[in-house]
Amino acid sequence: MNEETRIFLERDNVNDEVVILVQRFVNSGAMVEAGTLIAEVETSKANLDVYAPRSGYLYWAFEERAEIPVSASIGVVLPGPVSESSLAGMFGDAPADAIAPLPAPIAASTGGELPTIRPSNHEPAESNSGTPEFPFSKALVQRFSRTAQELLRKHNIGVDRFSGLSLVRASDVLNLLHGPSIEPAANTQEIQPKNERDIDAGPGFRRIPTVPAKEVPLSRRKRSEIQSLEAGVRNTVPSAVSVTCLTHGLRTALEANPIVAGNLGAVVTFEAARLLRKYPTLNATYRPDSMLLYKRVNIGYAMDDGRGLKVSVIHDSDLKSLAEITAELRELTIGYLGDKLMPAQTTGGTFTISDLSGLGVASFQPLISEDQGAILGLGAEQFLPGSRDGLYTLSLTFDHHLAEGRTAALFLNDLKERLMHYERVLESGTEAELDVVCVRCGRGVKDFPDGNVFMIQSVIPAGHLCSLCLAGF
Amino acid sequence: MYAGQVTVPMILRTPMGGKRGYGPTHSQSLEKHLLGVPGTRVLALNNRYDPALVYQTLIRDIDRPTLVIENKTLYGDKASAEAVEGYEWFHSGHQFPISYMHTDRPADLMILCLGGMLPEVEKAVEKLFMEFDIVAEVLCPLQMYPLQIEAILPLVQQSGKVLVVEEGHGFCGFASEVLAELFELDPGLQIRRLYSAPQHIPSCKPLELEVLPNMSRIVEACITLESGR
Repeated sequence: MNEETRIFLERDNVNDEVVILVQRFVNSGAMVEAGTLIAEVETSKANLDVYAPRSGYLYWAFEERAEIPVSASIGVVLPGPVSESSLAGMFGDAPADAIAPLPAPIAASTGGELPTIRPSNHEPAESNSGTPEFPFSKALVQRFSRTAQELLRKHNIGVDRFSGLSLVRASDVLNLLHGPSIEPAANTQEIQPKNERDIDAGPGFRRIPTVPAKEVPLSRRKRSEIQSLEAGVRNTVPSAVSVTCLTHGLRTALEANPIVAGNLGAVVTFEAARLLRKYPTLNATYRPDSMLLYKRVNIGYAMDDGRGLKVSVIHDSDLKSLAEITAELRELTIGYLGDKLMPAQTTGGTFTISDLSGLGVASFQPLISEDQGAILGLGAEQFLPGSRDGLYTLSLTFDHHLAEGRTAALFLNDLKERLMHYERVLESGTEAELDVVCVRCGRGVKDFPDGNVFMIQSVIPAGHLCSLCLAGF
Repeated sequence: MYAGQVTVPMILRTPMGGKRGYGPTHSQSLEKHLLGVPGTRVLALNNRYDPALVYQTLIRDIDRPTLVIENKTLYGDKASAEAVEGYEWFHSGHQFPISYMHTDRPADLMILCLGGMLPEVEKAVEKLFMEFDIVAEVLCPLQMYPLQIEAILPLVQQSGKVLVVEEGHGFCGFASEVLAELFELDPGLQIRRLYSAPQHIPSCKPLELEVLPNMSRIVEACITLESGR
């Protein structure tokens, strides 16, 4: 028993206090080899595979679908098989599916008694260098600071809203009430909540349905999505504007474009990113009596193929070329399809694009995400049968705290104009005309009908840059 | 001098520290005078790691002159691993471990202390959280010399702020050495130390308690450190 190896989960983000043991691939008591895939766990960001840390006999501490504190071990690998009675001693008397951690590992101390640890026999070098290993073991006692208690009483919030947190401070309560604080881009003064209407009145009551129903718990991913959308709705005064774009086939034109190879999402991301520098209030979020203008343009691209909505983020979209965005979006899509998106790839967005064109949706009103000020909806191209002329809709839901309908309309019309250029390449495109194109946006001089745009030879990046890209738009 | 052919497996136990009203001749913190002699070891017992284990290890593996300082105020305490609520004690895998009072919330700062200062530090941690919303973690190295600085550094870097508390005088003391080594390794750290007043220990107990670091002064120092002043 002394050679037991407990299985701890890798923490993939700072938000989750508990994760769900989705599936166990190995039965309790089975022999496993080191590196064997033994389980799948679900965090709010991703599903993670769990591998056996060493060879031996695996015993689980939790049943499938159990919620497990991230600091708890989900099982143990032993050098040999053990009896049920030995296991009972090891895991305690708690039911296996309870939301409770395992007892402390052998190396950790237990409260109220002498430490059970035995120091290792190896003596560190004279300098005693090396990082110590502090085995983390179990969930800790939950406590609320005095200020936190006062806030709970004042806002009539139950302590159950903080399950999974050990030491709860006033800042945790305020985060629940107003959302996590964000470093302001333009104004560094501390932001204090002032508007009572933003305050959540606390846990609401649940209505009992009048018809028979089956209650199905929501997945962690869905709950995380809800949390983000609810926070967005709570913090914004949403308004929406749409423009209709005439087209001869934008998608078809893009399929002929060697840079994007038909990737409409990449083109829209690329163009929207540059426009957001021109319309900064759409790349911002609202705080009472102020707005936070983000210094970076991180565009989130909503993806959902039926396995759950995720928004993958292209950081610093405004600084990347069309080819770079196309490649990154392709990589993110592959990551989404393989359920391998990392938390860094799904967080930090400042603006979102929701593309339902692939589903034939003509127009819709997307919801603004948490800590953002606008979201762009991309509708599908609609053609009458036999006609070459069609149309599609661009919709922008924006926070009226930050911008007005006029700003949103100007943004959409600018975007519409830019997207039309890609079609003109196809329409006017002879080989010669396509020779000199901007290495950033892929457009040539012929694509700019007003004649004010010119090309400049560039060393870095190599090739030509159009004056629009050069100016940052 | 003897090319490593000679060892002196000697353990020297000695009480130290104040708060007993014994006056200037029996309340000193003497460890700083004996720190840093190559080939020796200095240990400071604390009440969160079983002293029996320390001596068991020493008697079994002693390979050099070893000074063990024992704070008199701990003689009446029973060693236990009881932590401040919301925290838990962990011990490193070193022969003479660093004890780490850890919580799973991000800490605002780290307090590093020794032996007899630990009970005061624990009381301060409690007050800091309840009254001031400050989460502090604690490191209590059992081995003062050689210093396990490479092991301490990453734990201190988590919050980037460290207060070192010692009962002895500050000038050329243990806290000075720890902070100097930490700062050499990471100049970005915010550091602060707390030590006794630079005078002899008064016999009058109320005055003695004023001279030595206590919970209130630790709390005050932590608030100052946390606020970045």
